[in-house]
Amino acid sequence: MASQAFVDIAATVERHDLWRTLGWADIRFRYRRTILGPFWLTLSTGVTVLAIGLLYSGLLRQDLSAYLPALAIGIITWNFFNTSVNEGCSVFIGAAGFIKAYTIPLPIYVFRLLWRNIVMFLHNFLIVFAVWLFFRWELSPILLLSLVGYALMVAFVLGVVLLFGVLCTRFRDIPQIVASVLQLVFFITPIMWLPSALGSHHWVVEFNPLFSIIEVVRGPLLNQMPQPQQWLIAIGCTLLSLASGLAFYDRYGYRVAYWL
Amino acid sequence: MASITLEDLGVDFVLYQGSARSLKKSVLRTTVGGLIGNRAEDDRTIVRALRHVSLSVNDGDRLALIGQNGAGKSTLLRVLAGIYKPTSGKISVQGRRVPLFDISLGADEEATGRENIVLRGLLMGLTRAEISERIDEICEFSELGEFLDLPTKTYSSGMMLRLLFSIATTLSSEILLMDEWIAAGDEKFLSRANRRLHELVERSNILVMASHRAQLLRSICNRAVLLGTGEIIATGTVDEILARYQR
Repeated sequence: MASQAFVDIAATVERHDLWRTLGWADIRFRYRRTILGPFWLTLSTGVTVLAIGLLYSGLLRQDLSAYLPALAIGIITWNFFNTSVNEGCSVFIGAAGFIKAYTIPLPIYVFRLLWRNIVMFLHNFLIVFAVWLFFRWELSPILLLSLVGYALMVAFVLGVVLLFGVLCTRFRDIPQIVASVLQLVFFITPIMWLPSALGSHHWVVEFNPLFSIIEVVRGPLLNQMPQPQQWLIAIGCTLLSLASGLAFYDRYGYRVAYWL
Repeated sequence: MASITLEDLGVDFVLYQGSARSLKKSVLRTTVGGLIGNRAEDDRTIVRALRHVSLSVNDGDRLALIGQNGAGKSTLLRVLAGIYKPTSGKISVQGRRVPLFDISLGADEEATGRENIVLRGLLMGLTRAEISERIDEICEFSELGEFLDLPTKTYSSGMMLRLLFSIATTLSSEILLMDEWIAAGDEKFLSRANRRLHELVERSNILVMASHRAQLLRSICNRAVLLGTGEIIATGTVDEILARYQR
C-alpha cells in the first residue's frame, strides 16, 4: 500500500509545469507595473545589507571585508528560510478556493511556494555577486558545495512546510507563534554577528541547528569548508524534517479540505 | 475503461468555530478539564453531508444528480473529484477525472486571455505540450479575436465565460464532473456552445452532472439519481427521477 504522501509527491513532481507556472505567476502578480519588477526586492535587500554592514562592522569591531560578505549571504539565505516558513503556514489556507475546485495534489501548493521563493533567492543572489566583485575574496571548487547546502535547505523547508501547512489549517493561531519564534531564532543565529565574536558562549551556536543549515550554504561561498559536524547536523535535520513532514501529511493531509 | 464505485460512503463535516480553532484554547480545555470544558459552546457542529451512499458508474453512463439545494450534490461531486476523502465507506475511481466546478476561479485578471488559457489548462490537468497543441483551436472557438492579447480584467462576464468554456471543452477526460454549469452567454454563442458541450460529453467515458435545468439533463444524461439530505433516495432514468423530484 503506497503511502498517500509519496503518491501525492510523485503526482506533484509529474505536474511540474503547473507549480512552476503558478510560482512565476505569483511573482509577476506581485511586481506587476513596477519598474524593476522582482529586482525591487534585490534593491531593498541590497540597501539593507549595505547599511547594516557598514554600521555593524564598526559597532562589532569586525573587518568589513570579512563581515559584509558573510552578512550578505546570511541575510539572503535567512530571508529565503524565513519567508518560506512564514508563508508555508498559510500555504493551504490561502489556496482554499483552488483546493475545493480542482483535482490537484496538495503538495503542488507547497512546491509552488518553494519555487517562488527560490526564484526570489536567485534574484537576491545578485547582491552576493556584487559584494564579491567589490571584495574579490578567493574562490575554489569548494564553492559548488554550497549548491548541495542549498538543496539541503530547500528539502528542510519542504518538510517544515508540509507539517506546518497542514497543522496551521487546523489551528489558526500557530502562524503567529511561528512568526514570533522565527524572530527569536534570527537573533540567536549568526547572521548579523559572526561566531568568532561569541567567545565562551560558543554553545549558543553549537545547539542551534539553523546555524549549520545556513553555514553549509554560506561557508563554501566564502571559501570556508564547513566542519563535518555541521554537515552532519544539516543532513540530519533535513532528514528529520522530511520524515516528520511526510508522516504528518500522510496522516492528516486528507483533512485539509475539510478544515478549510 | 473508466469506472466509479462508491460503497456505503459517508462524509461528515466537523465545523470548527471560534475557540475550537485555537490551539491554546484546545489545550487549556483538556488540561483544566471539567472546570472549563463541557460548556455548551464546545464550538463543534457535525454536518452529515453524505450518508450511506452506494453507487456504481461505468463506461457510457451519463449520470444526473438531482435534488434540492443542500441535498449533497456538490459534496458528492467533490468526493468523486478526490477533493474530499470520505470519512466512512469506500470509493474507487478508474480514469482521469476533470472537475468543472467553480470555473471562474483561478483566473489571473492581470494576465492576458492567452496566458489564462495556459494557466487554466494546467490547472485542469493538461501539460504544456497538450496546451500548445490546442491553443489555436481554443482561441478560434472563443471568437475573442484581439481581446486575447489584452488582460482579462477588460473582459465582460460573457466574454470571460466564452474563454473559460472554450478551454474547458477542449479537454478530454475519462471522467467529467460538472456542477451547475450554466451557459449564460449570448444566443449565438449558446447554440455553438451546446454542440461543443455535447462533443465534450461524447469524448468522455463517464459524465456526472449536477443541475437544476431539466432540459439540459434530459438532453445529455441517460441515468439519474435523486439525492435528499445526503442520501440516495432513488435511481432511475432522467425522466423518472425528474418526475419524482417535481412531486
